[in-house]
Amino acid sequence: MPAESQLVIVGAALFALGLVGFLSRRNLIVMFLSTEVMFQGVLLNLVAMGQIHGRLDGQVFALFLLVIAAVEAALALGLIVLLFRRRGTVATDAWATMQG
Amino acid sequence: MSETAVAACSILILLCPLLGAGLIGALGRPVLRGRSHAPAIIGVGIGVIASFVILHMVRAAGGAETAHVVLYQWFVTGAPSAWFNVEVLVDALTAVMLVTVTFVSLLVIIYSRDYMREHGQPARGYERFFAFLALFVFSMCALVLAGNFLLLYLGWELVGLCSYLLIGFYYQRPAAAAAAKKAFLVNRIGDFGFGLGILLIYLTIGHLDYETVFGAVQAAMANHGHGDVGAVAAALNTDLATAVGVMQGIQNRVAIIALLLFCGAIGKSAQLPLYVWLPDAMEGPSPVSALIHAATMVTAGVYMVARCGVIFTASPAVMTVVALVGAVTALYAATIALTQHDMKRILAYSTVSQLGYMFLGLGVYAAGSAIFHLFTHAFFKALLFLSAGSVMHAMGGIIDLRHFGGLRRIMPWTCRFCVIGALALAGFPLFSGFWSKDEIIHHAFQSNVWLGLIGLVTAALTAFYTGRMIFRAFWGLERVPEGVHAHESGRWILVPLGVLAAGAVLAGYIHVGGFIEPVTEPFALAAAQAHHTIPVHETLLHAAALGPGGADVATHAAEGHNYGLMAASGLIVILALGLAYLAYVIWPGLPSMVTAIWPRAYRLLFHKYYVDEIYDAGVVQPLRGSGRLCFGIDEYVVDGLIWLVTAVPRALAYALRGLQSGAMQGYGVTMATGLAIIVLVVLLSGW
Repeated sequence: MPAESQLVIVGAALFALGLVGFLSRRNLIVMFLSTEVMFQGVLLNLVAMGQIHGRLDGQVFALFLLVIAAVEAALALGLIVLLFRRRGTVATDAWATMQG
Repeated sequence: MSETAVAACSILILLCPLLGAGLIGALGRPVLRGRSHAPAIIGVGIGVIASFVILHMVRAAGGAETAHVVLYQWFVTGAPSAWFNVEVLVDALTAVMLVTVTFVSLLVIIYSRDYMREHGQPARGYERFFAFLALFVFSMCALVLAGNFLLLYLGWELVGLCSYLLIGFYYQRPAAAAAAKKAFLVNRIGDFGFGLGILLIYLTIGHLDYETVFGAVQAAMANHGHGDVGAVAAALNTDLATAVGVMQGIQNRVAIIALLLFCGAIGKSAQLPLYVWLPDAMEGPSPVSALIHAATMVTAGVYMVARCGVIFTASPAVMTVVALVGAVTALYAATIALTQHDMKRILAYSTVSQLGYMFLGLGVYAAGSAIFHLFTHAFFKALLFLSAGSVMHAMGGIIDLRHFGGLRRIMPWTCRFCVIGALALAGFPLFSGFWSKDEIIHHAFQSNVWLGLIGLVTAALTAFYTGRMIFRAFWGLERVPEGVHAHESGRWILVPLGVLAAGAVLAGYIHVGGFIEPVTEPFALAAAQAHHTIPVHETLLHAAALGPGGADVATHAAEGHNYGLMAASGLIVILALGLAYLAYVIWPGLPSMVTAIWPRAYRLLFHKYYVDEIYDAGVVQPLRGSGRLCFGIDEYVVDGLIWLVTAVPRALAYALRGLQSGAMQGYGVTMATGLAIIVLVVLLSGW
């Protein structure tokens, strides 16, 4: 199996694991970590695609996305801290108030 | 008359009261407070002086001259673009009206200075009261000075507004607020007809200024109703072809125009069937009753009919309507006044009745006598109302004759003045009311015996109810309401009363009818055509030539006064007064015996022929019912339809809102499922 295909498989596995984690947990921080895992899977895919097509665009793109992900992580954690201060918990159930 | 002088005086008469009102309105509460009467007195005082100057100028010009001054051009409209001007028309009639209005108003405002105080302190709304009074004087002067129908309508509506504001002066009292509303609404009914009449004049003639309109109507009705095309064309300043059309329009519509204008007069001057607002208007302060609902505003209708003599006399049928309405109202209101207990209400019905006399006079082509009666009535009725106010002031706001009596010794001066006013109202020989009322009855007899008889019977009733009021208030056992320290009123109240009392005696010797003869000429001419009996016209001209406003009884006699009639009416008045003295002083048991004999008649009169109840059941309730119906349709039918339309999106939302669970994982699963479906589709389609 070529290295690119292995990369794609690992990326898909990471994305699937992250998705399962996101859907099965109630803790906001863990859910956030799960989305990060999904994110890494996507990044791995980008790198693999760059390899397959023999171009650097995929890796450059992945580097930019890493920076944005870091910024977004800081923002998301800040929001989670604020939510925690309001309700004293980081469970999503505490915020399930918008029921139709 | 120099136009400049007339213009200057007119502007002074109009602007000084208006400025006074504005000044009180702006500075009354923060600065003037208890001195708020000063701007009103000064403003109206200047108006009085200017009015007398105008009267003097008219007299100096022999009374026959008319000054028509355009103050400025207001706006332009119409197909052959015509300017509507702010213009004044000054002639003998205007001068007499101006002097009456401003002079009586000034006295009433002076009187109000004390009347509107409680224990020396200005009553609540003191500034407001004087601002409204000054505004009213402005409005009435605008009405009288107006040189076209548009300005007349402006003044007409402004006095209506002031009347509303002043009747509702004690707006905290529900009765006063209701009375103000009633006056305004009833007046609106009449004013609607009045407005239609003015519109019809404009549609027919294309102009609204008095001189053009009257000139055109006169020309169109010349030659015994066949018209004079050349004169119409000259009056309108058009070619003959246009004039023929206008002339036919005038001939067809003049009776309708007159009737519509008369609608306004019925409303404003409180005639049958629109008189109902005036007795209720007594909820306002007494000076308001004296000024607006006795002396000045309610005479606007009489003034308007006299001013529009050309239009009214063009149709004998309309003149008959005017005479009949006047005669019936005079008799009708006098019978109601017999049974009322509220002093101000007695006077209110008496005002309605006296206004009926004036319309009777107009209807029998005696406009001079009608205006003469207006003039004398302004003095003695203002005097009576102010005296009643003085009594009310002393009685702590109580004016019901059942609660006090025998005030002769407590309030000697008020009593004296009130008796003078009452004698003038009753038509006691040699007092002013005697001369003017007698002239009207005399002319009524000349026109139709029945009208004359109604006049005489009403005169007897007037004397009786006036006597009843006076004797119950001032004679008999001395009674005052409990807890009231009765006292004579102060100088500010008594001096105006004294001046008015002098007027109530002497006004009858000023020969108003002869003075305004040039203005009321259309009536005399029409009477000559209608009855072929007109010695009066010639003798009046003769009297006017002797000296305008000549003040002696001989002039009255020369005017064709019927000595037999004078003696008869004098005798009737004295007998009626004697009967009142018998019934209310000598033998106080008599009235209750009479009411016991005819209880039904008494109840009918006491409840004012149930007219208020009939109007309530016949007009107010159906209208209120239709209002409720409209409300119901709006509430249930229209709103229901809208509810149905909005139900569609609401039902959709109800069906879909279950999807909004609020749980984040639910949304996540939906997203993941959607993503999986997209991926599957992409893969299976082999793209």
